[in-house]
Amino acid sequence: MEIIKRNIHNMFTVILGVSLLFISACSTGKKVEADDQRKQRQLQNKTPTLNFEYKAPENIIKQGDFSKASATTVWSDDKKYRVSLYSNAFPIPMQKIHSWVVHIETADGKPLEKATIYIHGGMPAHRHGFPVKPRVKKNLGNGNYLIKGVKFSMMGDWEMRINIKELTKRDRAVFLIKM
Amino acid sequence: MKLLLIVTVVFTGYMQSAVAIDFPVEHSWTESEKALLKTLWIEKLKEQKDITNRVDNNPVAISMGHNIFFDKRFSSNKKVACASCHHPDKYFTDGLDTAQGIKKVNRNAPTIVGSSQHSWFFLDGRSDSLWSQALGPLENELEHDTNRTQVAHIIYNDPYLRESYEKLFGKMPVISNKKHFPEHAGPVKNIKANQAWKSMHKKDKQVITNIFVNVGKVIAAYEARLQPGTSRFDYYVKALLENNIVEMQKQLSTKEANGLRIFAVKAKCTVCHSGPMFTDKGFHNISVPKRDGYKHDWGRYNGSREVLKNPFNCRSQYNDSKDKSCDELEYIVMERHETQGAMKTPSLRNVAKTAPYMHAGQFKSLKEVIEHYDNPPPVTFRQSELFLDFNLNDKEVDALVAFLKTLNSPIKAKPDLLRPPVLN
Repeated sequence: MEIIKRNIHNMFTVILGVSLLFISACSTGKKVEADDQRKQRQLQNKTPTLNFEYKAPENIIKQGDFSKASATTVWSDDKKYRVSLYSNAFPIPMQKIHSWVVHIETADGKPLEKATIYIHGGMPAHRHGFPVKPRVKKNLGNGNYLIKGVKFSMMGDWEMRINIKELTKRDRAVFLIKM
Repeated sequence: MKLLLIVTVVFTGYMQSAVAIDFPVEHSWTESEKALLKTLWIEKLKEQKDITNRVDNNPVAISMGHNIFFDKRFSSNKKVACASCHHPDKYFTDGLDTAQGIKKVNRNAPTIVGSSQHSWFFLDGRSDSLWSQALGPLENELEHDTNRTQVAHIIYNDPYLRESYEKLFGKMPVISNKKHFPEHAGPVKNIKANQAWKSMHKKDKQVITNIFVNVGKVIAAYEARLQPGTSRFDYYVKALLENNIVEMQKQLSTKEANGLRIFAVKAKCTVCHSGPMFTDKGFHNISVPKRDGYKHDWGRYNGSREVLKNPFNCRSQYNDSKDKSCDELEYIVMERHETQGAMKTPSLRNVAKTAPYMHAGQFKSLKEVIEHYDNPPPVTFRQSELFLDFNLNDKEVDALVAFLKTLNSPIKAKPDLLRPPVLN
């Protein structure tokens, strides 16, 4: 009998504790949530607006979650090429010149062995380009091209445009890089 | 016993959540905002080792550089030293709109404190090392207006400087023959000195240039020792990361914390004023109006061209590093639409002590600077990067100014480096 009583007592204590914790967490969560919503509302009312339209590309590379093993692959604008891009430095460094590799395949899946590649880009929302000018420095073969001179100088959305030019055709692939 | 334990746990949990709830809104930061503030923390500042300067951080070089920095003999009229425009009492600036050397210069004198943290030097980045920057004003006819042989002769004839020089760089070559090494000669605008330089033998020119470059390296060794110290903002970030609301409130008032929120969140000043030095080290055109009586300043457009031609740049024989890849020069941006009218982003550490502001001292106060960002004038000189409409009210402008003043800090340097050297 004494054991049963003690067990009931213990169970009651646990239930009370858990309930108190739950109530406490809920009230904290609601308050924080309310604060966040209020802040968001305040921000929405005063968020700076861009005076031009900027449409971000669909494919997004995030700093820290991107490596050679998970190269991002996209179709070029006119679907002439499939383009993969990866940074040789992981995570992507800030304020440091480093290199990337772009891998290009034709629409039928063959590596693009010979093409002229130009790299453009920058921060469209801030109306400036890259702080240094990236260039393709070497054709590594098998559709791989080494891009040197990549540097990100600030946080925000960066755009890297890969312009591909062959004798008879050309196309462009666009990547958005979130720093 | 168990009840007591659970009640304690519950009570502690509740108190912790209560503390979180009780954070005043101005001191309440989301995790992403905390992460952003952490990037600005001075603890994130790494000590820069200049591998292109073999005497960087050498005590003899620091002392010799300290002496030269304050020495007015290194000018044509013996009245101008580096410290004339970079005075320790004015946070190593001069408080003038544009600097006054031998003549009036067309740009504002930036502070030396923390300058070693930059990648480019001068407001237009026409030098790519601190030591090559130090050489520019010596030969500039508006600043020191001196020349290479004059500099070399001062070092050669001064027992202390010569002894220091020889400790650092080995025995000085004999340059006492004035036929081979005239009193005044150098590739400068002064016609007489320029002609004397042209008439010198190639080997003699090289001897003098080596000495001249080494002078730049000892000045840089001294300048690199002047770093910003810990500010109230930094103590605030430390307290924030420790969740210490009492210390946070002690460091920043409600107004200052509101100013910080405007700086980091609303106005997004951290886009360019990023990192522990509050600069992205890049160049931007922010539509600063031209000063009356001054020409349009082409800024980085000219700077990018000049640094490639600079005989003391990273690619030169005077770079002490084995690595001559010089990527910053290799991939330099020179396009007109990117560089015209663009100036280097200044650090904001101790910004309240460095008025007036902008490349020609266009704005007298921080309030004027913020009002410029809030309502930028129409672009007059190429492409401006200012396009955000913040609509700050007077209270918000005041709060932002109050926050910027929390970046004030003592200079982190040995006290004797902050005053003129004691002459031996």
